[in-house]
Amino acid sequence: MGQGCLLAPRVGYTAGMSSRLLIVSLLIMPLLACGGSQKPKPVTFAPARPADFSGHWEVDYSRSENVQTKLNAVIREVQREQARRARAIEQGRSPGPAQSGRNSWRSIIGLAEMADLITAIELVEIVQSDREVRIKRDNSFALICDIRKPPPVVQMTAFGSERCGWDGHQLYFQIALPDGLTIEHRITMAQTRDLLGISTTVSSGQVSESFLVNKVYARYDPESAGYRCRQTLSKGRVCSTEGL
Amino acid sequence: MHSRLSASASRALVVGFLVSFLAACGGARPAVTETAPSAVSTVSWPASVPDTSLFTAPQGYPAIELGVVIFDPATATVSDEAHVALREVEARLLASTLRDTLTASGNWGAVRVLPAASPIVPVILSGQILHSDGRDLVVAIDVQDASGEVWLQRTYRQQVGASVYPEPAGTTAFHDLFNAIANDVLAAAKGLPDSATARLPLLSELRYAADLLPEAFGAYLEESAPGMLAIARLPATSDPMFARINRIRNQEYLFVDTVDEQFLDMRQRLSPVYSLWRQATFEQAAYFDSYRDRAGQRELSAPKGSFAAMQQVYATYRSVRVQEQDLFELALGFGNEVEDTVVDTGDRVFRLTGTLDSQYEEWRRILAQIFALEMGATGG
Repeated sequence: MGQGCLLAPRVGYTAGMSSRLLIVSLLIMPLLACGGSQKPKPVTFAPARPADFSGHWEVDYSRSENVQTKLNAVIREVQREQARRARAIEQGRSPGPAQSGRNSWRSIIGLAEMADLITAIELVEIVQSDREVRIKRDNSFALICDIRKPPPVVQMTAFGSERCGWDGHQLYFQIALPDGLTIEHRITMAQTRDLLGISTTVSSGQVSESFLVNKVYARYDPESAGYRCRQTLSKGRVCSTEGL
Repeated sequence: MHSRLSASASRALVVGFLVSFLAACGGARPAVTETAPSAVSTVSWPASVPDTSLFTAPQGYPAIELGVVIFDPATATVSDEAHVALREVEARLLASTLRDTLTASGNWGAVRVLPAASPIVPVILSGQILHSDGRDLVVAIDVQDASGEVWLQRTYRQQVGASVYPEPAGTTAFHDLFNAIANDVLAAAKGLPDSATARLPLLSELRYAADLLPEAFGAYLEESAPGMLAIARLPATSDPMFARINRIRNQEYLFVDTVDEQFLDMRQRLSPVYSLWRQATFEQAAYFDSYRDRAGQRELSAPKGSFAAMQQVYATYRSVRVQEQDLFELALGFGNEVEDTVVDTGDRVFRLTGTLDSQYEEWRRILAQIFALEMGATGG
């Protein structure tokens, strides 16, 4: 399996997908990627068919892609390539051009490590109103989209910018950061409303390909943990078993 | 020198990034929102007011009544629900602080906070929040009297340093700004002829009457110049209709004073939290400043495209957003509940619901109905 298997193009979910189809799609995405790696297609913001993502979600590892596995495959590919080059040199043949510069293995592995860092989200809470969708992610910032405005809704700061909006039944976010680092998230809910797919594509100005990670989250009831947490001004986050 | 170079390199990087981003966003015009203090244009802001003491010495001045309208929160410039809610609370708190400052000066008659502009008081102070965080407060103030004379139209800004935090209970870090406004209002009043200010209470009463019953009282006023009103003639002191209107006017004062009590209660509840909010936003603004220097150094510390470089870029953005969102959570704590207003008029109790504006509007509609009923009952 070559590099293309690991650097996957964005594959959108189809409308009205059942949870089973969603899972199957998530599983076959890396395989589809083998067909040819390329940059994600530009988002078109298809007419909105909003879904209600509200609720608490926890990562379902059994259904999600493991970045480490993908990364290990990249590393194995690097090792194979190095061995091939060594053999070619030993045999007095030209090893061919090495991966360097823009698409160096170091850059590709760096991109994979970034994808791992960005997608290491275990819990997600989504609060949705007619005005906005707020996707709170543990140990990271919330993705917020004002869904009253026509997409793309752009939020600019001096440190980066975000674009978002409904693209059909998917909610799309793009975070553009300095040095060409771009993170795209596509959020889709299964028709059964018990599974949420978050497809994250990470690309960099330094690598011509992007790195895709698909995670599946299952709905859960936070109160089943036996405690409830709330944010307070004086004490920060306070958790209590009262009132359950 | 190094930090200046770093800051400019960082700025160039950011500007370049934003420009290239915008260039890539061809096609449909996106809805763009700017957040973070550093993204706010400060070009049109005036210089910060200097240390300003409030003129409290009695000026031997006629006790003109003032109305401070709840500030315009200018929420169109605010990016999310919680900040909109916060701004709306802030609009009340700042109007209330200005009222307190004017009252403390001892130079005026009753000073009331009004839910909306009304001819009920001779002089109306309106304000708009142009920017508010713990470091800078920028407000546009407009003061106009019942004749249409503009007393004051000015933008005020105060910038404070870290030393003002934490704010002692019952004080505001931005007291110089409110003192400056109060002093300027006084200076504007002193610049008017005594005869003009002396006529204001009666002019205000007639405007109120003409508002309620234009066919009967419109003729008491004349337009002395475009947008300027003057008294054309006076109603008889025994005019029963004018006495009835004054009774209705007192009922409106009753509503305003009832709402004012709610403001006092709201201030007591929210002031400590608001102070925390200001301190947090001050710290955020300081953080953004120090970020600029760090961003400049970041370029030097790791080769582009490496995991370390990307991690630095992402970690910085993440921490900025997390901090912004922590403030959002804080803003949520303010809530935006609108309390019902109960007005006891002696023979009836009215419960008004909805936003303060709509309550005020409803109350004025009720007063107009009462007035119409009274007029019908007396054949007037």
